[in-house]
Formats: sequence, structure tokens, C-alpha cells
Amino acid sequence: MSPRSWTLRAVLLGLSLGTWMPGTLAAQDASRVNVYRFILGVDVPSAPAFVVLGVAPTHVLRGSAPKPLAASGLGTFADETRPAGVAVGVTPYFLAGGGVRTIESYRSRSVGGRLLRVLTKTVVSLGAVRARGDPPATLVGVAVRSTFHDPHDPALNTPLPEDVAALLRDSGVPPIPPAEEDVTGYGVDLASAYAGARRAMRARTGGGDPQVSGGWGMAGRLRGGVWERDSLDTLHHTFWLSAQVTLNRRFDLLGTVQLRDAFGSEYAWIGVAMQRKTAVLDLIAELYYDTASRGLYPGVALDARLLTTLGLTASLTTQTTPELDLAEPRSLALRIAVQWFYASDREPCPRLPRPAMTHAHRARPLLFLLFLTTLGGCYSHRVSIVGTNPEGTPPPATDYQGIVAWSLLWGVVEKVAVPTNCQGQPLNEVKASSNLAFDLLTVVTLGAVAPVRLDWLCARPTPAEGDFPIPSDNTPERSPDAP
Amino acid sequence: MPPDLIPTVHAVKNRKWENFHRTVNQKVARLVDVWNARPNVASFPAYNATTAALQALIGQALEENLPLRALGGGWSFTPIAVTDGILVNTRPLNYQFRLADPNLHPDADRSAEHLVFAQCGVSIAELSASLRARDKSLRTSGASNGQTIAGALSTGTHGSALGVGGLQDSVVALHLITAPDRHIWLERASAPVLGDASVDFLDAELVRDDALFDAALVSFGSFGIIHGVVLEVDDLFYLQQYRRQHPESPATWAAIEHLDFSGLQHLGRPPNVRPYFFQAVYNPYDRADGPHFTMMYREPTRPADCVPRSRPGEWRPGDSAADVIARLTDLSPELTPTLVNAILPQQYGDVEGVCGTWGEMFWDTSTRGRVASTAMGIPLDRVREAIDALFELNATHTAPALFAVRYVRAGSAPLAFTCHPDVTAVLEIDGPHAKGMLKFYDAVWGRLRDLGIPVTFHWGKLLPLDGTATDAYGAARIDAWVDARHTLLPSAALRRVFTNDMLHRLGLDR
Repeated sequence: MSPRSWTLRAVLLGLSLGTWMPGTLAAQDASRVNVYRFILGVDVPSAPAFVVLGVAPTHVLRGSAPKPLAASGLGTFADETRPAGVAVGVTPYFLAGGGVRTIESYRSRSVGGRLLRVLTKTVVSLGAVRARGDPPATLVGVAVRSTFHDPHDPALNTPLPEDVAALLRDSGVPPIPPAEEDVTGYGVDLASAYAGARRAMRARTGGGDPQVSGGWGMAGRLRGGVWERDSLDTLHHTFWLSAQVTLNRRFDLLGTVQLRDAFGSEYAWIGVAMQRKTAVLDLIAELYYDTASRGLYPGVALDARLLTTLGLTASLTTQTTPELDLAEPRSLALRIAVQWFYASDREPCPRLPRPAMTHAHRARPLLFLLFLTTLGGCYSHRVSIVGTNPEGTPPPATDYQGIVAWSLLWGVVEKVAVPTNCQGQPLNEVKASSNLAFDLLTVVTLGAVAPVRLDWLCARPTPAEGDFPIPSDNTPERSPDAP
Repeated sequence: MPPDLIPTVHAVKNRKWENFHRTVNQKVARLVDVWNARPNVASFPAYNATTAALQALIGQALEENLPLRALGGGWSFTPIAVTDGILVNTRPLNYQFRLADPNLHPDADRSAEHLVFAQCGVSIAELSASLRARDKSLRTSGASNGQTIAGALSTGTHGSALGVGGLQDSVVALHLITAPDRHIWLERASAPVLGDASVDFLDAELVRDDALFDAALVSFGSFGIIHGVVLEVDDLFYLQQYRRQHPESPATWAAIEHLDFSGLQHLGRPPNVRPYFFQAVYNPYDRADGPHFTMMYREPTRPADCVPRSRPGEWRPGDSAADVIARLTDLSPELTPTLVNAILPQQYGDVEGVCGTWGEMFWDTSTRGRVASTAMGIPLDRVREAIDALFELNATHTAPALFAVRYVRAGSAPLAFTCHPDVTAVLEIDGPHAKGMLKFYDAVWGRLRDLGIPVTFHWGKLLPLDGTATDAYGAARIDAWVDARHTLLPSAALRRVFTNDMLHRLGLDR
């Protein structure tokens, strides 16, 4: 394992340890609440993995806090490569059952309190993009994004926690376990409380107090479909910092600096954008400067909330991913992204019976910890005929060729590998490979989305020995030709 | 051309190609698989149609100003066999044709039953199997069987059969495609093989020239595409193997330095019986107990006390095994001696009487993943000095390596690295592809140079790319090779097609 992956593991391990502890302690104190009850479904930032892959709908990014869970799909209509991708983002602290504490401690202005809030709003994002071509290109990216300063946090700067508690209490709802993340299922209409908080936060200028977020990620072109350090043709690091200042209830000013291909060619996208906010959609107009091409590029985006937890972003922007050869650089591109995200201010639903807390539930943080410690990069399984022939096994006729095979919805739909390059010969070997990104995607989706890389080698033909033609007796001999 | 004779040419653009040992990762403009039109029936018209298809590919390369390289088994550790232009996968081209005496030249000094005509992509494993079926055998090969015949001879692949040269020294004729409008049948003038009328079946230009033939033998794809070869083979024989560790003594040095085995005990045969195959392997962390000697004795029939070779089970080293060892030893070099001492007895234990045909003994490899190897040809009388230098250097480098010495009779190819008369000692250093190994290689190459030992390098294994790799050949050999290349590829455009980056770095592209 590379030192880099050890570092990643240590970071994740640290995060998971940090997240496990507060959840355990909080279960002992009924006065605490889960701060993830107060996630508003507005200002949803782009998937960080799309940012590092260079396909985010906009180049100027929101500085707002992430949603603890998000899944995105993206399509691009630009040149013939038409990159399309998926990304998932998860806040490890949320995944591990964290977020349980008293509102007073959450609002603490101490260094520890601030750091804990940053941890609460730190998301890990994985994404992959497929671009058409010959051969098609697969790019993968992983990113970590944190919100460092968030004056638009409703749990921090609105009475939403108190209002929700009062509404529940007044409706006769018995005390809710502190670890409970979702309070919309108790038959109480909380919509007005969330709507009020949403309005307040979107209008909160705070005297120019910005929301500030930043992130780091790396992306590379997947060679052979297997993600390990040696399998990435290009590995590019990206750092970014974005700020979002609310000017009034209608307009936000956004600013972003992205340092692209850090430690490599190192160029930057520096941009500003104006966001016009309405109740149903946001309109973003951006202008950014690319230090690589020394040019200014405009872009526009529409961000609509289709359902309470589903958003759609359509942007007309400039395709700028030259470092990953994804497409022709600096061509105009229409990008459409659909994003599902976790939010608390969704429509109320009838209360459903809840399963009792089982050992499995209690063991969740431990299992997560165990999972993190067993990550080891990529691995493969092989069906091979090598070693089956006493006289020696002929090697394959071709090099590896393969696809990423997907099993969706627990096997309801699957993408099948169909070798078309073997010219009627059988297969010599089949190799199934997985990697960190695939495994994580499978686990996060509970197996609903399960990719695996399948590669095959074609066997050689098996012609019997032929006979060299025999010349007729009267064929004259000839003199050797000089070259 | 009848439609059923048109070969299948399957091209994939802009892809990365990786070699078997995962030490080369090359972006290529086009990777082209070429399949005979009738892949499962060895057909002479189909062979000729494939010649035309390969010529067409050379034509495309000329037209698009792209370099082209014919790819064999992909076993070379270096990018000697690749290009960033058109890489032609010849592995599906595996016809074999049996020659008859009427095919031979009147002056041929051999019988047709000891010859085989193999298309370029025929693997060593396939050759061994088909030869076995007609009670014949290869004389030598590399330690395993995955190379193609054209790739193996072009890089000077060798074994350690005493008195036998490298694989290329068994080759007696080449069918070489040099241009869109030219392909030649190349033999030695001093040892013609095919009769003129038989050459006519190939529609090839007949060239009989010792110097051109010798130069083309080891030319790593720089002279054109070798489409077919004629190999000289032996009657089927068996090898019986014995392997033991021998403490360092004058007797062991006599074996290593002079191939004098008279002082050794426990050889499995009386002292006066000379082994057909001999190699010495050193554990760098166990010098006191001496080298492991492997002796193989040639027998015309299967020995009565033959112990069959054991086959690997279902558990084998995975792709990452070598990588894990490489990273572990890079991270903590002090672990290296313990690791080598633990692994070597498992992988390289004593052997007593195991036997089989050549194909059974030099069998499928179970080594996968990123491994490293360098092989240096040195004069036999400098081998002790070189081994001492290796041990001395490793005292500070602690590389996860094994040292081996093999022996190959010098051949006639000017750029065969087994060129030190009369027998070349081949000093090999193998191990995982660790940073520590690569640093050790650099140190060894430098030290042997400083000691004034003339070192030639196996073209398919790791070698210095600073322009010094060809120093030991001398100007006469280099000039002979370059002149031959200019004769066979008379235009600069054609030479550009068959030039790759490594040829340029070796200074052989002039």
C-alpha cells in the first residue's frame, strides 16, 4: 500500500474514531439532540468529486454547508466525448451516528466547538466520469470538503431547534431519542418552522459574514478499470476555497479559487458569480479566469429544487479539463446534473413503526471502523487456465480488455461483459477486480449499486501443424538475389 | 484476394499497453491485433495473406509517419519491443508448418525432420507441445514458456544449456517483412535451408547473406516484422534435475568459473558426466552456505527413477505479491534479509531426480506482478570478480534480490548479448520491482564498469539507458548491425518506422 493510501486511511480512521465516541456518550443524555435534524435543502453545493474531476456544473462554487448524504448524476452535452458521471458524498460523522449533543455545546464559540462544527460539515465524495471515445475513458475522483464557517447554519443562528422541540412537545410527542436524525415522521407539521428558518438563512446578510468552504481531492484516468496508484495514468490534485456572501434575500455573491493540478502543472481557476435566489430556483451567472489559458470565461446555471430532496442543475459553461484529456478543452458545454440529497425540511409523512434498536444498530460505528481498517486498495480474482497443461499452457492471444460491469438494484439489472475481440476463440483468462471506490459505492448503497471491473484475455487459436507446400520436381533453382 | 483469406485486423486507438511484468506502460496510437484468416487451420495461402496484411500496416505507418513495432509475448522488462505509434500484436499468428526434404536446398546440411517453420506468434509452449507430438524438442529456451518465438529470438532469450547458444542460435532462416512492397526470405549463404522453389511459395525475395542474417537475428524488431522463422530442433530428450546448495569451496568455484564439475559431490550422476544444463543461484544473505547448483542431465528416454515435476496448486502468488514485497522492503530495508531467507527455501528448495521433457521442465510461470530483472553477459574469467562485487555492494544496499549465473555459448549475432567467447556467463539479478532493487542495479552497473568488466546486457531485461549499454560490443559489431539495417531498410523513412525510443536511447538509430 502506498504511503498516500496509508495517510488516507489514517485520516478516515481518525474521523471514524472521533465520530464514534460522541454518539456513544450522547445516548446516555436525553437532553441532547441530533444536529442533523436541522439540514435545510437549499444552497446544495456541487458534488466535490465532480469538482476534482473538472465536470462540476459551475466553476465558481457555493460556500454553503454540504448535505450529509448526496448522490448525483451528471450528463454533458458538449463535443462527441459527452462525459457522464456519478458521484456520492457522505459525511462520515453522520454515517457513524454522530451529531448528538446539546444545542448549547453545538453553538459554542470555543475552538473545540468550532472544530466540531467543521467535522459535522465535512463530506467525503467519490465520483466517476465516463467519456466516450476510442477507447472510452473512465476518470475517478475522491474529494474531501469542509465548511469552515457557516453563518447560515439554522441550528446555530435560528431558533429552529427550539421551535421544533416546542412543536413536538406541544403535539404530545413523547421525548424523542437524542440520536434520532429525522423528526418529520411523528405526524407533526414542522414545515412552517423549517420554512421560517430557510427564509431567515437565505436572507441573513450578517454584515458580509461569508459562508466559507474548502476542499481537496484527487482525480485520475483509470487504466484497466482498476483504481490503484499505478493504474492511474494521470493523478491530479485539486485544492479549492469558496466563499458565499449574502447581499440580501435575493442575491448572493460567490467567489472561488481552485488550484488545479497541484504539484503538477499548477494552474488556477479564479472566479466570481452572482446568485439570484427565488423560491423555486436559483440563477447563477459566473465569470472565471483560467491562468492556464489566460482567458476569462462566462457561464450560467439554473438550480431548481424538483422535489424536497431532489435538485436539478443545468448549466451552460466552458469545458476545461485539459489535464485529464476528458474532452476538447475550453469548448462550450451544456451540463445537467440531478442531485438527491438528505435534508430535514422535507414534507411531513405519517409516523411509521420503527424497529427496535438492535445490536446491529449499536455496532454500526464499530463495523464502520472495522471496514475502514480493512481497506487495502484494489484486489482481483482470476479464472485462469495457466498451469493446467503438462506440456505448458499457451499464453493468451491478446492483452487485457474489459469493462466495468454494474449490478444495479441488487441484481435486478446488470451490465454484462461481452468480449467482441476474440474472433471466435475461447477466453484464456477472466479477471474480476475491485477497488476502494467500487467497494465504498457498494457499501454506501447497501449493494444496490455494485460495480466490478471485468477483464478478459482471449485464447490463441489452436491450429494443427500444416505442411509446407512441396515444389514440383521440375521447378528450376534460381540464383540468390543480392539485397 | 478471396474474402476468406483476408486476415482480421482489430485496431484499438489511443490505449495504454502494459507488459507482462508490469514494468512498461506505453501509450500507443494504435494497438493492432492481427489474426490469420483461418486461425484454426494452418493454411499456407492464409499465411501469405497475413504477409500482405502486415505489409499494409507498414504502409499505413509510412503514410501516417508513425513508428511501428511488432509485439511478441510482451515479456521484455524494457520498452525495447514497444512504440508509441502502431503496436502490432502478433500473438494470434501461430501457424506451424512441417517441412519435407524436397523443400530443402540441395546444399542444406540438415534433414527436414529436424526443422520447423513457425509463424512469429507461436509461443514457446506451443512449440514444445507440437514438437513433442513428433518426438522432437527445442534445444533451449528461457526459464519459462510465454514468449513468442520471434520475440524471444529478437531479444536474445537464452537458457543455461551448456554448449548451446541462445534461442536465436537455433534459427536457420527468417521471413522478414521490411516494407509495404518488400518481404525477404533471409538465410545464411554459408548454410542455405530452403530451396529456391520453396521460397517461391512465399512470394518472397530470396536473400542469402551471412552478415545480414546474423544481424537480423537479434534486432528487437528494428529490421522489420519477422513473420516466420525456421528453427533447428533436436530429437526428443528428457532432462533430469538435481539441485542442492554447495558450500563455497575451490570445487564450487571451479564449477562456476571453469564449468569444471569434477570436484562436486552429490550430482546425481558420476563426476565424469557433464550436465546439459547448469546454473548457480546465490542467496545474497546466505553466502556462507554457498550457491544453489542446478544440474540437468540429458537422457534420450525418460529415466526409470524419474520424479514427476509437481504442479502448482490452487493457491498462487497474486498480482500484488511482488508489489507488497517491494513496498515492504522499500519501507523497511532491514526486513529484506529475513524475507529473502524465508522465501527462498519455499521457492527454491532442493530437487532430486525430477525429470521431464524440455517443455515440462521449463514450464508455465507462476510469477505475476511487478518484478525486476537484469541480466549481464560477462566473460567467464571475470565471473568471480563480478559476484564478489555484487555481494560487496549488497552489504550496503540490502536489495530483495537473488543472484544467478547461467552459461550460454557465444553466438554469431553481432548484438547477441551472449557474445563473450567461448561461453558467456550471464549474471542475473532478479527480485520484486522495488526502488531498492533499481538503485542496486544502478550501483552494480556502475561498479562492473569501474572494474573494467566488459558487460553486455540482455535486451529484454532492465539495462542502463544512459548510452553505455552498447559499449562492450565494440565498434565492429555495432557497425555491422547498423550497416545490415541500412541494407535491409534502405530508406530513412523505413528506418524511422522501425525505430523506437529505446533504440534512440541506445544510440542504435543511426
